[in-house]
Amino acid sequence: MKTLVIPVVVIAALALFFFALPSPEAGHEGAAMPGQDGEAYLIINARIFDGEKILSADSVRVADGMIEAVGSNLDTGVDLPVVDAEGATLLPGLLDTHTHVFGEARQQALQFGVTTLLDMFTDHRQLADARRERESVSQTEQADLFSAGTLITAPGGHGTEYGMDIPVLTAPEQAASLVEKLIAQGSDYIKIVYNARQAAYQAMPSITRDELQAVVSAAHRQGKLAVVHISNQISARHAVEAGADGLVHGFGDTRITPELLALLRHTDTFVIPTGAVMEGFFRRQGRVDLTRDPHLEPWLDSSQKTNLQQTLGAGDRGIDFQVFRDNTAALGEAGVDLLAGSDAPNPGTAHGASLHRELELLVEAGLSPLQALASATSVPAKRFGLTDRGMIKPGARADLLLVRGQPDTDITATRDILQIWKNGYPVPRKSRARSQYARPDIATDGLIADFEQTATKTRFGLPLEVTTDQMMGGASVATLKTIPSGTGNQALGIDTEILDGFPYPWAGVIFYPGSAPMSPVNLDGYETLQVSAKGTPGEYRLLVFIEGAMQPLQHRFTVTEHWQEYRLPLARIAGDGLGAITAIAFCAGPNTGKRHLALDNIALQ
Amino acid sequence: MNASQTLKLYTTESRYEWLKTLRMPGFVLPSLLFPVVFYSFFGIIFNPSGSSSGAATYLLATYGVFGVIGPALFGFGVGLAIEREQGWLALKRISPAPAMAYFTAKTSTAMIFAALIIIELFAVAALFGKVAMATSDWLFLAAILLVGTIPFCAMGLALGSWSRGKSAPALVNLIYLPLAFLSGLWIPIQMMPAVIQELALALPPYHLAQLALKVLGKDQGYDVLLHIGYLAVFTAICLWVAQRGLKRADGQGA
Repeated sequence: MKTLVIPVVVIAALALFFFALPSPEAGHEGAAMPGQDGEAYLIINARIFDGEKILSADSVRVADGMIEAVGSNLDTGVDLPVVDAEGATLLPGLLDTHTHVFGEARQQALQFGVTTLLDMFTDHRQLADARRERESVSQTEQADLFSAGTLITAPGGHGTEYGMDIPVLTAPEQAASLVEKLIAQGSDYIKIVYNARQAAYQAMPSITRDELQAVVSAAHRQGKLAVVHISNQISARHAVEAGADGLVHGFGDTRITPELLALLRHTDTFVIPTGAVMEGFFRRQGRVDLTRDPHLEPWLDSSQKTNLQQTLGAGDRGIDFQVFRDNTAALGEAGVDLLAGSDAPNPGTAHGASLHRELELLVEAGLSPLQALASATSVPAKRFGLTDRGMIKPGARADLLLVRGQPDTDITATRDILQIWKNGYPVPRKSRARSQYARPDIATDGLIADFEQTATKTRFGLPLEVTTDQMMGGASVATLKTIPSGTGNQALGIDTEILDGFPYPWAGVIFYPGSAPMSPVNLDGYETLQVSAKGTPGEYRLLVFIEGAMQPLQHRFTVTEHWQEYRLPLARIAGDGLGAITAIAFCAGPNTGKRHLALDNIALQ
Repeated sequence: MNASQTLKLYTTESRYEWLKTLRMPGFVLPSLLFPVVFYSFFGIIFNPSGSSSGAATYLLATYGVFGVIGPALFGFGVGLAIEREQGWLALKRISPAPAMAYFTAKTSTAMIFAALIIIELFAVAALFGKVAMATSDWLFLAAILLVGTIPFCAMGLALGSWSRGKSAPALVNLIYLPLAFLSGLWIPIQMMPAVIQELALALPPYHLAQLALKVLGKDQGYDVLLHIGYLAVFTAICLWVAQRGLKRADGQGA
């Protein structure tokens, strides 16, 4: 018996030990979080960052979507529901001052505690609704939106490449009427794209310096801020000299001169460095993969993950990330107002999540964590004249963020979110790890199309279609027809001609796997896309479109004059986007010329 | 010899190995204290992210690996080298006790030490590091660390079968500490220069650490099989090297 006692005791003690080890708190899903039904409540025992500094007060009273009181011991003698924020820091909801709001952006941002988005170019048709929504204090699952609407640029300039109707300027005299047009469309401020004639990097046409001056003045006459997109020092100087209120990017072509620093200080111009997007575009070493951050990953949907893992294959454009970062540091040191902006959803960024990275990058550039927090709260609110947000003070909107730890000493603590409130209502956070999209009805052979009947018939999804850059104003053409295949059956013949017109030309065939064009489907579990192909020898591209991602993912493959089997690594190309595929295309381009491509037996494996 | 006698032989051998080890404070104290002291310093007190538990959780896995490979390397490496030189090993081998009993005793001692270190680290992590995980994750992490001692027992065996008794502690330290550092056990591997990150792929503790980090979802994303495969091949090579070493030792009459 005795021999058994010892093992039993040891095992029991071990079992007790392991069960006594702490498990994560179950979260707030079960218990009703105060504010759920719009009732007043108290947040107590919190460290409070009010937008500028850490307060000695530890409590906030919220009622009717607004902060009603800030103080200590607000809970004595009152009978209100209480949120005990012991060990946590309460922040104003964050502002991302450089975003582009399309699709799910506002929901995505709010999931990360970004309660207000300052957009720098979007579809202006959403702005009337956005204005109404941001004035309301009703329950919402979206961040509020302020926007430049579209932007002002030169014909063919940056901003025109997205296939939208963009106001273009060809003479200074047009400035006033263009600004008026933007304001009528709902622009809260005016964004101008400018690149100085003297700048070394000249990719696209730009408005002239006189035109820049005219637009800034016209905006000011209408009582609107004028902010300028620049990408180098000389353009930055011109913008500041023209009286711009802010620059919506930093620059990294040359080190910032003491003269420009002094000028920025003197004119009190703010800068939104957008390190988060610069890092994605230009940083060679030390890039951080946010999809691996355990505090961010569960709340990223597949399109955000795809976007975060993309880079823009656009060369360095004369921008050195190290120089950019040193410039940001110099701006911070000189006391120029820096505003946190991510430029999401450009490749390498994601709405909401990238703002947390931007805060970290600002600290990396030398700002104190407290200054970084202010750059996403009180500073942008002040600079954009938003009096009801960016601060925890009586009368401000109850857009609040409760995080574990002390973000004023460790900036990454902003990611460890315990609770988000928008308009006083607790925001439910949704784990996005699983694809929410339906699986298409795919047979076991995985066949998409074998072309035995027609050139366009598919086994699921929509029939094949021609796709070319004509939808973006390009001139390329393509036609589809059936041709005999090597084995006596039929195959698909695609005649393409790439013509100049759009900067990134393409022509080919596109397949929508969903029940409508660009409606996402879940292809999780499939590894490769099989296809037989031959054609004019050379490189062709497989394009994979992911829901919410700005640009399709590309995979190049080389075709010869003879039929060959290809196993294109779809899962590897799409990555986390495999659960939200909207379209798959086979294309020629970007080199101009006529080509013939033949495809057969396209199947998923 | 029947099964119960065999079992008795194995347990007796193990018990005395355990008792002998306990009577060596120079082994017991560093083995039990270093990992938990290091972890307390780097994972909790000087935790760069303040009170957030991310680093404390991450480093629990890596210092866990650091902790459990220590007794494995030293118990085998140093113990075997000394006993071999003293002729104790030769004596054992002419006694009727199976050679396996000797190795089983050493392995089980290393594992008991590993278990104690795991318990210490887990307690510190839970009490002071605010580390919270599902009970199944705690158990799984403990299991990986425990089983993970085996490749390092093999490594210790290989070292002990070749090195001289006096030089063995220095040799093992010379390998153990840099190996731990370069495998990212002290500082997360992502924070290391790219060269070291690539070098780490060749080091066995890196692979055990990645397996442990997989439980926490904080690994670098390589396939589980890569890590397991690496460790299995590494173990096999160590055993082969050890066998050669012991044969050579026989030849020298040691």
